[in-house]
Amino acid sequence: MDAFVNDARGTNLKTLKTALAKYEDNLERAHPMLDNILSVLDPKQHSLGFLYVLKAKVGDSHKSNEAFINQVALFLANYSTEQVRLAPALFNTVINHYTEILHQTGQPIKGISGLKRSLAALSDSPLHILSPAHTNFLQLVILSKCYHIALPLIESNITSINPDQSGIAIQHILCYYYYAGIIFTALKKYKSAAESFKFVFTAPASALSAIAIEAYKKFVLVNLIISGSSSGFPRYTPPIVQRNIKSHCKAYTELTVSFSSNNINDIRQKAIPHAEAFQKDKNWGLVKLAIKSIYRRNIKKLTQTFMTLSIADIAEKVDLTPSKAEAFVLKMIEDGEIFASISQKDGMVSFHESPENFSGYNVFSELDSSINKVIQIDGTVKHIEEKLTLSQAFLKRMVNDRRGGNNNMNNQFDPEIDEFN
Amino acid sequence: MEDDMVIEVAGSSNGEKTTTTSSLSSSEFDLENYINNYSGNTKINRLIFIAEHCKPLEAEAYQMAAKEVQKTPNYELYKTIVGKSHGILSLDSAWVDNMAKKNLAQLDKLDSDLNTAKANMVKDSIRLAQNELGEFYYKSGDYPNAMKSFVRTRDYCTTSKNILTMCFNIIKVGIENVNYSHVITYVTKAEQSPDLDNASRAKLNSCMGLANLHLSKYKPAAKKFIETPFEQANVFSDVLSQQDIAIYGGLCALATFDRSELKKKVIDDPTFKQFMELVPEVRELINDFYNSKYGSCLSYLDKLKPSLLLDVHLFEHVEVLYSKIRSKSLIQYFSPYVSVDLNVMATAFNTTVQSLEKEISKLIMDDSIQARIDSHNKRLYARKTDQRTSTFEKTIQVGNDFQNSTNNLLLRLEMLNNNITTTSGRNKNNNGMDFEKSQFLENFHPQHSHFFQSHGR
Amino acid sequence: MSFKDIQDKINNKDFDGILKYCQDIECESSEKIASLYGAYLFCYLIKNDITNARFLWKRIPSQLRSNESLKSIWTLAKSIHQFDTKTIYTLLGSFGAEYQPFVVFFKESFQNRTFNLISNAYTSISLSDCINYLGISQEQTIELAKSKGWTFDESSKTFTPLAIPTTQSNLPQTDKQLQNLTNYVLFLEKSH
Repeated sequence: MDAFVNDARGTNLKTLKTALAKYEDNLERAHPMLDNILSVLDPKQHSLGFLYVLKAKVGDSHKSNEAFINQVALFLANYSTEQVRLAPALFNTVINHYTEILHQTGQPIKGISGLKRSLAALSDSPLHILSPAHTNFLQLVILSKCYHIALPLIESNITSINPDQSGIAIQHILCYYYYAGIIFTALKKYKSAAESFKFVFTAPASALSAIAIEAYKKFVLVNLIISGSSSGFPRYTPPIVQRNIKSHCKAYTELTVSFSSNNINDIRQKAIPHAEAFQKDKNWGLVKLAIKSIYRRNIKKLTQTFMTLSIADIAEKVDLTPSKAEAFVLKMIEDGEIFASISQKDGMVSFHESPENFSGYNVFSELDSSINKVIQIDGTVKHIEEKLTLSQAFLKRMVNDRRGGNNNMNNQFDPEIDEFN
Repeated sequence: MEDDMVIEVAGSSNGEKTTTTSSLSSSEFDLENYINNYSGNTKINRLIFIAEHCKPLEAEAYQMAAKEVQKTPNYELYKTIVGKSHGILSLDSAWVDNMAKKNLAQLDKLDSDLNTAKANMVKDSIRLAQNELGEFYYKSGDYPNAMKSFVRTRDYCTTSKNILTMCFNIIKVGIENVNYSHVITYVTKAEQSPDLDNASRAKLNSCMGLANLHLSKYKPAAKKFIETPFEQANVFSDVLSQQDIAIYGGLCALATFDRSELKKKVIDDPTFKQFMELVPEVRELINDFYNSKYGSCLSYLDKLKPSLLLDVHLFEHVEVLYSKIRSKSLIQYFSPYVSVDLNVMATAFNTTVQSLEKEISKLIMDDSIQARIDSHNKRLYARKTDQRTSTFEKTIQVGNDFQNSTNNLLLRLEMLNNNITTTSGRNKNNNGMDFEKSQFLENFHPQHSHFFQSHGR
Repeated sequence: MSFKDIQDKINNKDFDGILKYCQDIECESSEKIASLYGAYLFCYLIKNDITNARFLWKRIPSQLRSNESLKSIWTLAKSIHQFDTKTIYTLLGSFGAEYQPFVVFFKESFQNRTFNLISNAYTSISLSDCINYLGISQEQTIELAKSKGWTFDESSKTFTPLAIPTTQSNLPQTDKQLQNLTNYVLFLEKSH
């Protein structure tokens, strides 16, 4: 093992990986000695060696979990990005195991700051390029209920992945968006939640996965909370998902249909037979929120229908007691959902149009930032288009298409293809 | 008021169980006059329908139905009518026995006629024999066999006239048997015939109208009825009367046409005018509607309603058509105003302010009227949309949607580029994911179960 | 209980700073945060962020949750959510000395928020409801309302509040705006 320590202290990055890889099996067989080895390695100077040992510890079922947690935390506080990137698979395994151990020992919050630091390990731009650690990070955020911590990450726009660098696979991506949806939902940012869940079941697929089904269920419920109706599948949803997913979500489809009546008692009655299914999916709370959202939507509809209406009439129309109806209206005014004024003297509520006249600084800067974002997106799209149109696969395809259309061109084009090959 | 009658109709066009109660004094409904517009099976069916849905007319209707059915070989139906009549009729079992025997003999004869014709291989006589057989089944009320026989004439049709006959026979059976997909198919087929006279065209249009009415497609139904050529004689009495065309067409048009269509295609149409002359109430109520005399129009409709509910084809659609007409008149009434006093409007529509408010609020909620109600002062105000505001709202929305969808698109593209997709277990690649029920989801759910619980307010 | 680590911030009424500090410390050390949970939770209430307050309450280890002050703060959070002003004002009187800076600041901001809400949400409101919402005496309420331009009808004991107009912020400096416009035009030119 001294030889390993020696090699781990090597400084030549080009040979480090090969130098250390040959010890992998030995390390696996030397579980009792691993803690000692770690104590003589510096997590910053000898990150790769440190990582090899941690990886070996993953397979050690007799290790002290506490020690392992501390060792990984130490590693994540100090690791060298350069060295870690030599062995992305090891890194992912360690991070994943670390997450699991924290979950098992009931202290997920301990890993949050470490994992936050790990986001940049295999991603050049943690807010835009996804890596497996991103998924583990969200997992810990949910387990520890520290939802606010994930917000800056999940509100940024992920547009890319780099599987060669990070070893990211489909389950990391889908889980990332599923977890992001859960976090948005917990923080009551329902529109963003719907977008995240939508990504899960619209991601490229030639088979239907369990996670797509779960995401779709939550997508349906979140949409009911937002608008009381469901939005259809986007055009780009994989056909296999569009065809089959609904047969797995009968209770949800029926709930959606029942919402068209806007009658809260009716909808509640129709939800009860499905309660077991909703509870099994752990979605009962969301279902209740969706049903509760009907009050707000019905009141909102009244504001668009009436200019004035008595509190008694509001109460009757939305099926609440008058005092509760007044409280509801007050709360909605506070939240800026409706614009109204209550007159207790004659028991009337006057509804107003939105006072937003779209001329203040806020609107200006919102538009400004939107335009800037669109300009950025345009740049990215152009860049990718360039990359694609110059790719060998694309050119081959173009040439083949043209060849099919005009046989005379054959000879002229062949030499050019050869050049590309 | 003892001659008031109560009509109960179960089941509306939506398939919901609704009960419509309406009163009608028998002096207002001349059964004999009404039923003489019809012949054949529809006459019997209409009588039975009326007997079942209108207690005061029950006896008269059953008696007439029995009389009519005894003109046909359909002794089964006769027995049913007698059975249903609550003792009003007594069974003429001698006639039943006699007819049963006669039917057997007749069927034998028709069968052997058909066989002879087939043996002789003369196309036209085979066709005629099949037709006779079909007609016999039709009259006996055996619609599936009638349909079979008529469809079989198809191979023996030699002229377009033959084809037309076949189509009309099938349509006739289809309507009585409530099989409207057949009706539509064969109307379409018949319309391609080169030698259609006005009478045939009238039949085809009215049947197509009827089929659309049954499918609750009121606008196409109205168009077909209105385009029906007017014939002096009642050419289609075994399906419907010319009065029916006026009523069905008029109501469907009123419920679905806009103002200019109503003027051009209904009120000013010389042909349909002739139909409407037969039912002056329909003419009057359509004119009233067009001239914005909604109170008068609606009271005509109220008066017509009890007798419409006795119509075998229309009764299911009366409520839907009426509510459509009522909504349209409310919308049209308000259209020229900036604001309207609800009290005045309620008077114009023979209703109370409270129920008017409810009706209008429904129309506002489904976007039929652009207005808002001042419930305090009982006024309705037109709503003007602020173009600038809505443009801003839309623009911001479109911008956000574009950003979201493009970002997601880029990531999906990147996934495809790297061949990272969900695949099934059989052809799993190293990046692919396969989980019937993924492990981590199972593990994970209990942990966040609680956080969707609402904390009640 | 006292809040040594954040005393400076308390003195400066920097509650955003306290919140940030607590959020950071929470993930670093479970020992350090243990004594700060009360302040942490109160900061969320000052920010009127009940959602995050709720999750924080759930994160607090169960053995600490039995602490009387913490329990009171959590009850306060629930009362805010239910807009149960009576309970809110009663609870505020029950906190010990170490919480006074939070209580004072919270009470002030809550009263301001509520007063603004009433101003805009009511065209007439009874004196008793108003007292209830603001948690001050009858005389104080009438005095405050009158100072804000509300009218009071002695016979029916109702106020007619004066709506607070929304203030329009100014547009940014023009040269920045001009530069933005130039960029947009450049972008559009480039696309063609």
